[in-house]
Amino acid sequence: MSAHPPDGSDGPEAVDPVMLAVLSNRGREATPLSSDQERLLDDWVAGRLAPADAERAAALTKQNTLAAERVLERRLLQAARQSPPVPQDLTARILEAAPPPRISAPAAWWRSLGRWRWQGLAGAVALAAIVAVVGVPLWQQTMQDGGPIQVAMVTINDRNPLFEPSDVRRRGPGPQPGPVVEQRFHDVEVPTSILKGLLAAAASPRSAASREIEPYLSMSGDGRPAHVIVDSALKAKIDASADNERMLVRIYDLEDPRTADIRPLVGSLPKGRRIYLLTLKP
Amino acid sequence: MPRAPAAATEPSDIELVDNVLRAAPGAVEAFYRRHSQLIYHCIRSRADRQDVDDIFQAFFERLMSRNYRVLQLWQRGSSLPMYLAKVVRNFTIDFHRARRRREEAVGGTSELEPFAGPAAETISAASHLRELRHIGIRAWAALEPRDRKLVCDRLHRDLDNDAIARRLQLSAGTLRTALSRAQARHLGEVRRLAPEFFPDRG
Repeated sequence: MSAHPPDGSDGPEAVDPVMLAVLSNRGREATPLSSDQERLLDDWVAGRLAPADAERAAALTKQNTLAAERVLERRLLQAARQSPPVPQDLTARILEAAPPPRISAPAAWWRSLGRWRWQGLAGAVALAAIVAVVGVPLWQQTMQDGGPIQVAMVTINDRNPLFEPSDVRRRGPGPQPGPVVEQRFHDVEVPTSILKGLLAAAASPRSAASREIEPYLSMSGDGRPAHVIVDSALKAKIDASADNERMLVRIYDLEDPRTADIRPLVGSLPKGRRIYLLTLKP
Repeated sequence: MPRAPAAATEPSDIELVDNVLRAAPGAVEAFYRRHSQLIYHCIRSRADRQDVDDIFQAFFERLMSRNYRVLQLWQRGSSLPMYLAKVVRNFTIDFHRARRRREEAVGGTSELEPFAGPAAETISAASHLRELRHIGIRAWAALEPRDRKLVCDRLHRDLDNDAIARRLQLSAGTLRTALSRAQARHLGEVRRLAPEFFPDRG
């Protein structure tokens, strides 16, 4: 096949069946080549075929335009491979003159960090993990109205101020106390799970209580966070009746002037918070 | 349609060119590694030895200075090596034309000619094969009449040796010799017109 004169010869071109087949293609048929046909043509150009297969390849090249184009491309690349290589100094000059790749400003900054970038990345990941584990729950609490709810326990020795006139029931047909129009407390049924959550928060001073208790407190909505004081008697009752889903709780708003006699029972009160006492109905 | 050769792990020519056009890191080097030898060969096949390096460097300088516009114009799906061969051929011809203009004496006829810009690279997907066929016809037209007959009977009429021998009233041995020489002369002309498709003669 591509027999050609030895290097430096100016003699006539030797018969070159590959180029002759390409030149004799009439361009009338363009059938996509199968992988076997592609391989056949490539082997033909590379001079790796037996005469019978070479004839098949030549016939295909003459008939099929796509085959001829493939052969021509392979022929071009083969000729290029046989050509002397590009001088190295020329290659160096050209690649040196090539414009630097276009990279974005963040990418450029990232690259400028060099080997520190991976250590920095590891540190950032660790910091993010700490923030996610510790900071996010606190942040979520803080972002809600009024901030976290504080909970404290109190043991009340003198419970007399906690007896309300409405709790007194008289036996017999005597006159019953009339309806109280406005009381200084309110009795509500609170889910036991919420109460247990408050007790758990009271046992762990660093943790904030769930805000689920808020709807039951009848908060005034002045924006101040709540401070809930739980009567230890209520705790004992909660522990004793763990099976009940709900429990009746009496709630005092200690800012109500009518609870002035109760405030001394719970000791010093924090400032800047709305304070409630949760106790049980006598 | 022929595809540029690329190993399975290497990017295709389309990916390679796209990377160059979006200035991806290392793309120019990758393009250079794959196609510089082809470009160098095409220039070598058409230029004097002392000009090859200059033309090669000028080709890449122009490629870069114009933001690889030539590669933008390449029609995806066609053969990139064949396209580059055509672009290099046009560039080499322009290089020689420009040099001739510079070397002509002041006051020559070239001053009266319009300053034509460099030939635009062909961007159509017209078959490279068709172009080579035209070159084959031009090469055939330059042959002696008997050679033209022989080449025409063999290549275009696809006649076998017996039929050609009968037509030209030649013996089988004489025909073989005459046909071989006619084809060699034809290929010599084709090489002169499209040298990039032939191995380098040194």
